[in-house]
Amino acid sequence: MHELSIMMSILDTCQQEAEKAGAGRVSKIHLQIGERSGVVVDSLKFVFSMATQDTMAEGAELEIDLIPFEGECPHCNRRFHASAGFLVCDQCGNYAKLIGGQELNIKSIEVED
Amino acid sequence: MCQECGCLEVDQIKIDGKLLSARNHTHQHDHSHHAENNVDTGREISIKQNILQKNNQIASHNREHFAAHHVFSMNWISAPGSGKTTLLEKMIEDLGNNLSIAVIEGDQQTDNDAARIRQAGAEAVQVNTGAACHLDAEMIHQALHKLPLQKNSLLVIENVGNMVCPTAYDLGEHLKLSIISCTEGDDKPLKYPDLLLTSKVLLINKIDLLPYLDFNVENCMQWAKKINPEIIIFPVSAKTKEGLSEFYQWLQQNL
Repeated sequence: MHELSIMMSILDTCQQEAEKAGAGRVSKIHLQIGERSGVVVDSLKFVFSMATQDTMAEGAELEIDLIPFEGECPHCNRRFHASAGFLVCDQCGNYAKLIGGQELNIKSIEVED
Repeated sequence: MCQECGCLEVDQIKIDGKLLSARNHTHQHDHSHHAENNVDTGREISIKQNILQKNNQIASHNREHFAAHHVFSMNWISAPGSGKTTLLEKMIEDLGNNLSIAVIEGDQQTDNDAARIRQAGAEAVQVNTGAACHLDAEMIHQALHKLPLQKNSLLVIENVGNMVCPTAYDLGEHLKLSIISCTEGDDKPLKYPDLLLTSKVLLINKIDLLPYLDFNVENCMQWAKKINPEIIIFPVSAKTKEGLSEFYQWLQQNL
C-alpha cells in the first residue's frame, strides 16, 4: 500500500548519492528487500517507471534481491526458509528465531556522468 | 507519504488541527565516505543504507527523548474499529490515578479520539495524517513538541487504523502492540502476519462477544505464536474489563 512512498525515499537517497559523486544520471538501482519487510516487490517494480519519470534515474534498471524469511531453531540449530510464514522449525517443530527477511535496504547504485 | 493511496501532500498533515509546515526532505547526514573511489562513467556507488533511514534517524531521536524523560512508549496498531480508543479510555480510568498516561492519536481526519482521551482524563495530541495511511517518526516528533511528558509516564501512540503500512515505520517506541477484535475473524494473524511479526504484544479484544461469534481464541493464539513465537497475548474485553488486569500487570512490570 505504501510502495510509492517507499520508492520516493529510495529515489531521494539515490539522487543525493549520485549528486555527491558528481554524476549526471543514475543507470541502476540495486535493492535488498526482505520477503517479510511489508513491501511488495511487484508493486515497487510497478511504481518505479512512474516515480523515476523526469528524474536523473529515468530509464534506470531496477535490480531487487529478495531476502528470504529465515528462521533458526534454538533446539536443533537448523536454519530454514520459513516459506509458509511460520517461525516453526521444519525439522523438530519447535518455535524458532527470526534471522532474516525484514530487510529494506539500498545496496548500491550505478551512475553515469 | 502514501501517494499510492492519493496522499504525500505534507500540507495535509495536522497536529491538533494546525497544519504541519512542509517537511524537510533533505538528508543532513554525511555520506561522503561512500563515493571515495568512484570517478569513472558507469560506476557503482555502494550505499548500504536502510530505505527508511531518514525516518529511523528521527525515530532514534524520539527514542532518546523518551529515555531522557523515563517514558515508556507503545505503538498500538490494528484495523479500524478494533477498540483501541475504548481500551485506552478504560486504561486511563483504571490506571490513571497512579500512572501518568499521555496519548498521541493518529487518524486521517477529525479530533474525535483525542477529545475522548481528554474526556477520560489524559493528555492527548491529535495527528491528522490527511490521506496517509500510517504515522511516521517525524509526525511523532512534531506531536511531542505539543505534549508535555511527565517523568516515569506512559505514552501510547494510537496509530491510524491499518494493519499493513504502520508496521514498517519505527516511531521510536519501545514496542508495538497489535489488537485483533473477535468480530474480525480468528485467522487475522494469518492474513496480516507482518504486523504480528513486529509486535511484542497482541490483545484479542471484544471477548465478551464470543458467545455470539465463531471466533476461536485458541486458533487465533496458535497462529499468532507460529508467526511470532515471542509474542505475548492477552484476550481482553474493553467493555467488561475481562482480562485487562493481566494486561495491566504485565504493563506495570515493563514500565
